[in-house]
Amino acid sequence: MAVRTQFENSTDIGVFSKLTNSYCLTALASSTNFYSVFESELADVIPIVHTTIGGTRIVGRLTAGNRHGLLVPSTTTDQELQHLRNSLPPSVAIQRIEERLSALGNVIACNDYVALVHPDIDRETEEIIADTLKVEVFRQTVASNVLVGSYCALSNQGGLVHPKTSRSELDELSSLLQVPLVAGTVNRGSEVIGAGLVVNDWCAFTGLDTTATEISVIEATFRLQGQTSAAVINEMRDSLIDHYA
Amino acid sequence: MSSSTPISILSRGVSVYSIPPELLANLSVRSIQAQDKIGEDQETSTKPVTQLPTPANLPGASGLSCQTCPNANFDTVEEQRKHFKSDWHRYNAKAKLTGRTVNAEEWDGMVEGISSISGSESSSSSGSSSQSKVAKLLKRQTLGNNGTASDDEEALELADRQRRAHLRTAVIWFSPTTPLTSLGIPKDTQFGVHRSLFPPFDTAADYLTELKRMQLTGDEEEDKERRLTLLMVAGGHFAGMVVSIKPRGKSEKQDVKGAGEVRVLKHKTFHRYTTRKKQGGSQALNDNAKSKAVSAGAMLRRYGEQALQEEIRALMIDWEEDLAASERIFIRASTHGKKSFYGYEGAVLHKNDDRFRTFPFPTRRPTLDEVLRCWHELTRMKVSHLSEDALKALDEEYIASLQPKNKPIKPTPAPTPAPSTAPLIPKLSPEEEAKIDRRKRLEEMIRKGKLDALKSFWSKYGNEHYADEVEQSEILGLCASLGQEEILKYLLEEEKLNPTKSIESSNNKKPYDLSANKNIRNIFRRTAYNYPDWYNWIEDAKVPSGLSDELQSEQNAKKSERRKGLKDKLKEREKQKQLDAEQQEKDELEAEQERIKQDHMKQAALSLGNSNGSTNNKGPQKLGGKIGGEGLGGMTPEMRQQIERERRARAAEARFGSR
Repeated sequence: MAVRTQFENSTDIGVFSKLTNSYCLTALASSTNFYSVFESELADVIPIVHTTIGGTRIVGRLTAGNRHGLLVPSTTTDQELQHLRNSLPPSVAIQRIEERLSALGNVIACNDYVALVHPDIDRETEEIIADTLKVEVFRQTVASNVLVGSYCALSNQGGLVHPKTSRSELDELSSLLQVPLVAGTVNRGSEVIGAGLVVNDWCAFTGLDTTATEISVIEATFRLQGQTSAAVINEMRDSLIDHYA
Repeated sequence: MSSSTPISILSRGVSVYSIPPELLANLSVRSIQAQDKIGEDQETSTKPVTQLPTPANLPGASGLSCQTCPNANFDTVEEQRKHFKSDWHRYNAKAKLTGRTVNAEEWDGMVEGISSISGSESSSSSGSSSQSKVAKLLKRQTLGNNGTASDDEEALELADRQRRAHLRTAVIWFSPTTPLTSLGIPKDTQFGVHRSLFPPFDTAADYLTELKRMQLTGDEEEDKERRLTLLMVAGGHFAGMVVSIKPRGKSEKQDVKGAGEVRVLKHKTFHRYTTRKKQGGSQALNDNAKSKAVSAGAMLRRYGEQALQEEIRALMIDWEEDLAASERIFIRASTHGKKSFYGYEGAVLHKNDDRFRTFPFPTRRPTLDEVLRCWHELTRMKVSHLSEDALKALDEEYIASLQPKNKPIKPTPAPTPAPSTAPLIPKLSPEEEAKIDRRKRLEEMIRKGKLDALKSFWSKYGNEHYADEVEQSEILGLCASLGQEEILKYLLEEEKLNPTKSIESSNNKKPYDLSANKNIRNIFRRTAYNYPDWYNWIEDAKVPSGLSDELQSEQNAKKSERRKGLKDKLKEREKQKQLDAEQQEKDELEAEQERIKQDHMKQAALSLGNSNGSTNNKGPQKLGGKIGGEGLGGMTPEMRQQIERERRARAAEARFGSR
């Protein structure tokens, strides 16, 4: 089930929220509309945490995490860390990382098993990622972009990557991640997938501008409605090709 | 033209435009060889571009491959995943961003290099060490990417200098590839042509082809059309000439005196009073710099400038055809003077004309003679006879003399001095300068006899900087010659400077020989006596004998005795002298008294005679003498009375005495 929403008139909801299989982070907003959308979908299933990171609202871009853990940048204050610790289930490890590339959400893309990271990331950070998130870490680029977190959205079911990712690169990445990947867009053609889409194994939230076609691609890719990703090719071909033509 | 001459063509000037064909065919450009080499270097140094793999050129039977690493194919997914964790892939993932990935073989080579550097081969290849390997390699690669790896830097700089050296020479040199005995050209001969005759070229071959193209064809009509213009304006003088490149035939008339074979098509000079005598500088400049001068001279000069400019401009219009036909236009003019030629409305010439050249050598006052001289200078081939080695040395020196552009000067290998160059003044290193400075200070201290300052100086520098024995002897010699006893003693006894070396600057004398006086000599001798085992005093230091305390005291005693005796003698002599003086005084006194007595007697006799009324004195008499005896004229009456009284008393005495 993919839900469209926006954060204070911005459709880049991936900037202001982080969604995993065991928790959800949302930014503090002047109204609770944004929070309410998540709450209506996730209430009583996983905790939804209102937080800031280092005093900023761009929690989605600054953090990286999965079912096993949450990585926060060195700018995170102790109070925020304490608040997260108190709000998240004890099974989720929280780790603050001293890393030059501090927008962890931009440089790390991960599901519960595999993480793609920026090629320049520290060796220590790589180890912490592997230990905290319990993932295999691969230094990769997506369509020649080093900001792998910005240009892809991953779940354990599938992944949506930058629309200009070549076929061979898709193959390579999907053999790395062991999930089917689809190159696509969100928010009416935005290629910054990570900013427009947050996804876990059973639901997805996308920007309000996302078209129906994009939604259907997302749902098929992440198998949100019992479809397989093959549907993207088989069933949606006509609409897609019509759309791109 | 000169190919028919049986003897050397070099005996007279060879025109650039009519080089004998045999010679021309054999010429090669000399000074640009370096340039060619650079070009080759650059070509070879461009790194082989790694082909980015495209799906088409990948064999990849199983379809499992790595997009980042060239030619990486895998049979199983496990292999592929393993590869994605390897250093090779890690390296390529980063290197891909800069566009240069390496294949497996290159990677192996790189790793070998780096492991030998890190020196941690024995330790098991832990993750962090492999990480540092990648980082190191990447760092190295980035450096290399900037184009100047530290190894290449020097070579590049040298190449840059060579290029600039090539660009900056005013003369392009050609040398015959084979000696041409038929033309009388000996081995090791070079021919130079002014660069300004050529269009700006970059490669050597261009100059040669252009030189060949420049030659007169022998076709009368075509050759006649070719010409050069030379224009000079400076200090109120203008001289201009349009010269045909083809030399004048014997029958053609020549209207410029002394032009010889030069076929002068047009010529003109103007002279105006524009610059103030003595002070110089154009009036316009002066007017612009200060307020406008109003003197009569200033008016004249201003008018002169104006008139000269107008005349030149009119001439340019007159010569329009010739200017248009000229191959090169040589101009000598100041910025202001150039306005006479172009940059005004209706100008015949245009500022960006690529035929414009400046004279590549200093020129004198613009006159026809000077213009002719410049013509010869420009169009005659320069001839030099330098051996290959000398040329090489000269080249190297020249290149080394060029300052690197925006770079600190690197010590370049010292160029071998060419025979023609003047000896260079040795450049002193800071240490040497400091040494000379120290030595000066030391000498000053000795000269002024500043022992305390010298002591502190010596404790600071002495033993390390003046370990050289010759130098020590020199210092001692200086002390000795200046008669600085204290300092000499200090240096000789306490600092133990060596006095045994001969001083070259003073005819190889030893310090002892330079002694100014006996005290100095005694210091040497005393030291020799006190420390006879320090040096071989007699042989090496030329100190004749040691001087013990006893010896000196004995000497002193002798001296004082002698001195005492002398004093006594002197005293005696003084006494004698005094006695003599006293005796003399006495005698004189007596003589005086005697004389006075006689005087009195005479006087008395005279006065007696007077009183008798008979005047027997024949000599001239004083006027007024009669009034009150002699010499009483100007006296007061009392005085006169007194003297009179005395006189009478004496007369009475005399009377009594004679009785």
